[in-house]
Amino acid sequence: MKYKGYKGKILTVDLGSGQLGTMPLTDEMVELYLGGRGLATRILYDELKPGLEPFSADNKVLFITGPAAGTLIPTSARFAVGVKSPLTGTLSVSYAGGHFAPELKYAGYDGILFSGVSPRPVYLFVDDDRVELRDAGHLWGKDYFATEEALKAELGHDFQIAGIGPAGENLVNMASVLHEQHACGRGGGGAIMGHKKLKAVAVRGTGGVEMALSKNEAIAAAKELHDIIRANPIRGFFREFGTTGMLGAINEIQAMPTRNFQETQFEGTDKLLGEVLREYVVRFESCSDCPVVCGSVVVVDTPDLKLKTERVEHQTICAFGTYCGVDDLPAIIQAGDLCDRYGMDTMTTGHTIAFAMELYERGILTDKDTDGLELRFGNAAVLKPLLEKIAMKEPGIGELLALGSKQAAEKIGGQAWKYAMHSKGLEIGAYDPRGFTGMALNLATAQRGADHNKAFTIAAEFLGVLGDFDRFDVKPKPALTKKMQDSTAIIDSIIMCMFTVDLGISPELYGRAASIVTGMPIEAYEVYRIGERINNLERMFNVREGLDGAADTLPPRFAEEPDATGHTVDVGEMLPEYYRERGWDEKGVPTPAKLKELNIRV
Amino acid sequence: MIAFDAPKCVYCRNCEKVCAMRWVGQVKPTVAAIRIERTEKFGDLTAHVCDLCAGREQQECVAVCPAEALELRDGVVHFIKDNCTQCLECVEVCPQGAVAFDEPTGQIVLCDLCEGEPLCIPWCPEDALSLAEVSA
Repeated sequence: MKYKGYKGKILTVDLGSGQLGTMPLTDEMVELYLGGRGLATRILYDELKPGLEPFSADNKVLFITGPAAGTLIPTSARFAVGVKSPLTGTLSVSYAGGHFAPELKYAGYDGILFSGVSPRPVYLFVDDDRVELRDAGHLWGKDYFATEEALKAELGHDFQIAGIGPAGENLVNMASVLHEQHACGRGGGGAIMGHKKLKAVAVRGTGGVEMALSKNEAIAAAKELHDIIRANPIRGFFREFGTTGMLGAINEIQAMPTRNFQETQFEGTDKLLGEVLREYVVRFESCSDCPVVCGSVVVVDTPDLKLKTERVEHQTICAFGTYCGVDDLPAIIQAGDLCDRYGMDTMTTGHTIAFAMELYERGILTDKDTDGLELRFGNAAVLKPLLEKIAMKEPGIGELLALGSKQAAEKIGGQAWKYAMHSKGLEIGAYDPRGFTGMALNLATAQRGADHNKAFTIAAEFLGVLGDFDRFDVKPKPALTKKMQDSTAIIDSIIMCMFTVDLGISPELYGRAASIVTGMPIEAYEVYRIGERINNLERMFNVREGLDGAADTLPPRFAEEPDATGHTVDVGEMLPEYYRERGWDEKGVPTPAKLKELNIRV
Repeated sequence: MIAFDAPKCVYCRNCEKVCAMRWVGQVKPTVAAIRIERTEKFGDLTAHVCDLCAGREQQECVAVCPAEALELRDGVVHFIKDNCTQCLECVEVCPQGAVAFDEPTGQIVLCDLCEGEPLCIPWCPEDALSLAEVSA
């Protein structure tokens, strides 16, 4: 390849036959799609047969990195896992930091594409160009932390591991792929690995990654980006509080999803704040190549609970806390830890429990449906047993909630669907759509369902770091949402961390980061254009699956029930303008002219 | 020498990467002159970097080199590439495990303090690295 940063090949593994090979990356592919999410979308669009069952041998699991992984670019140590999601039926690409992505690059690969189903549990061993499928019988059934520990003991602590826990093995729809305590959380990628009988990937590499600039120029240019992040005042908040620094403010403005979105302010928030959590922190932890240092280790030491684990994030605190009406921080930390061990997305899991709690309180689910668990809001004691039932897919409530809220509601029938708070099957992140209309539009239109990170409009609608938009005013939101969805796609493709949006990295600088590494001249305009191309191809994947604009919805609650400030939101009002902004037809489908303009082959 | 303040280290490994880049022109941490090691989850961190054999008068890599390719000068060990026979005895003998060999470039990598302004120090986001006098 003429571009730097890449290793130029994807390792291919047919789990059915055991056949190993490589697939080349081409200059054209990376010019159009850059890396990460862009490449995952292009590759999986081509590789996945339309209409395939997520749990079938035809589905594939793609581990992918960006050109920046393993280089000096700040926050670049991220990899993603892409599948056709069992939760949403859409393409789902989920990201995690840590140390896996650089190691895979040093071993010589930009990604790994798994196809087929193995006849027995296996893990993939990659030690530079020595690649083997190895028996994982001794790992099957182990929780993820124990799996990683066993593999490191077996292979050496310099191997980096990614894999699944029991939830993935049991085909739980919200099963995640873990690496250390980092999760490719959303969309159920872990369940597809489980279906393939693929327990883990272990990788070690001794090679290097080149950057396009000469070494002194590359060092200076990358250091500039590190320094911008380090000098940003918000960096200190991430370091001290992880993502929990905003809980108080979101609650104060009454935009905090509470008791499954029935309310928007939680009376117990004071007990869950970042400052309270900070008291549990014993050391700080970083991903590779990062100057932000948002991670930390916490120790819980109460009479009932002794635990050393990672600090929980904003989304996890809300999922098991405000959504479930729980103000018991140690119980929430434990729930987050258990989700990592079982290998389950904290968000979909917590939100699905909150959904079940509302059904229980409304009498739609009763004690006989819940195996006797009293699923009342605020009952922290149900979290632990319920998580185990879900991860193990125990017949009854476990099996039901393992479907996620949308599919569980379909199974329950009647009015249950009204209380399943998702879009396209993916549950809604912890910013109430009624309080942020741009976020509402993003949640409804994001291709893999209600993913708040597909356009973190909170930065523009509340934090004031990307303009100063009135959070209720719908008028400017179609343009804002489109723009941010497009710029986010390039962050996910370089791959850099989403937090850099809040830390002074502008679209121009994302372009510069990509240029420093690859040598492609990427100006801000091209950042948006590549991002737009990715969003359009993702939409075409959905269209091929029969999902057009009719799926761009939010639950009726947001249009019918005002939040604590008296506001409702009807995303339907914003959609026509959003589709116009996107150059899509009135059904939300990209026009042939748009696809041609963006040079998208479908 | 580079002093390492272990409790401050967050394991971002920026030091390894920038060091390798300077030595071999690509980001290749296995040939960095500083390497951070962790052997258990959330566990303590160790740095492997030249400490001039704890400040002793005689450095083991210099002593073992049969070709006079390593010499102590102005408080750092210098590599003289023209003399090197690539026997790699220095890599083997280093008590810190802080001497590396990059095959493609034929470079023996060990900390020379970047000729006075060590890059790893400003690249550390947590001030875990500093320049210290060698003390025996």
